[in-house]
Amino acid sequence: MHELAISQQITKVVLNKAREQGAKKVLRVGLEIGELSFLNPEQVEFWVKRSFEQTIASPAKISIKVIEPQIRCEVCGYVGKLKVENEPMYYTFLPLFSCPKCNNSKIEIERGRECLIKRIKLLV
Amino acid sequence: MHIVDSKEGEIFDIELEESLLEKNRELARSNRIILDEHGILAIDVMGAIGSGKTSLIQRMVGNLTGKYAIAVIAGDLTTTIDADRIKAEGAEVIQVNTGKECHLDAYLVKNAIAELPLEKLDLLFIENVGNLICPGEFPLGSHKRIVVISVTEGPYMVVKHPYIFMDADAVVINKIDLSEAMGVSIAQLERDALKIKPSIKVVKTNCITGEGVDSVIEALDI
Repeated sequence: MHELAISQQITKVVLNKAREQGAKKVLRVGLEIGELSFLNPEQVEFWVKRSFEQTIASPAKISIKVIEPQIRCEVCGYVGKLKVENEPMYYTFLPLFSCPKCNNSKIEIERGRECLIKRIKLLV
Repeated sequence: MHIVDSKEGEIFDIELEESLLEKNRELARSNRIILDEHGILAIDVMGAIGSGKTSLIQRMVGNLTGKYAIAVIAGDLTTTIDADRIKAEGAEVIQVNTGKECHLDAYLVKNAIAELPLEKLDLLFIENVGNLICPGEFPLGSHKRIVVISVTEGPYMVVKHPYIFMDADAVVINKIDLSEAMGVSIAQLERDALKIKPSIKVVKTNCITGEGVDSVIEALDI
């Protein structure tokens, strides 16, 4: 729900970086968004594109890599995917915040909550 | 600083790793340090609009006044009527809402904390904005997070918003007296919450009568 605000921040960071390097154009912006963040990548892409309009970043190609969650169980040491249940009744996926091996909820979410600007390609 | 000597027409590929959520997390950590230095336990109360966050806080303040010095950061679209209700129970209330934000963030909470008489306080309730999505992304520096839902929101409140329970220590199912009228199974809501997060504490309340409020206090180890 806060995609617009995040996208404006992304724009600010990208344009500042471009300015620092004396760039003429921003050619590409690579983002990473975790599945467990509360962000919809499609909306982020739309708003970033919109915020880039009439700036040197307007030709930039935006790519978003969606990061799958990775958890670590503090009890049995399991490292891997989060168990997600398919609930056809609700047309939704239900993430289970417990260890798929020992069912403990003492889990550390190692990946999947990020919102990163991973790389920027500039024409100088 | 990284200085690059650039030539005309050159293309730069910069690895950045700039995290957009990290600033909030940093501020949340510094809020926590301030709270810990003053020995204050902070509880972030999240929940949908109308689920009963204010009523629950009012009841908890009522039950705990005398035992602790309490403050409330009212971040939901709390009216002065609500704030007055809580003040009447004996807590300091600070309003931080403008009526526009969809969540509190660590920055707003930092400013609110700065206005509180920290030396005098033991307990702080932070009422988040009524929303089951955005607040989940923004830790505030609280020690515990609870989610308030109520049966009047329908039977699917938990399964529709599983991510909000990711960091929650307890879920409060409120308005239990209305479950029959609403045709909503409290047991099913409880099963859903425990399925998503087996360690979550589930407490059932009626914040109008105060039923179950002491169990919330117990579940939070206050």
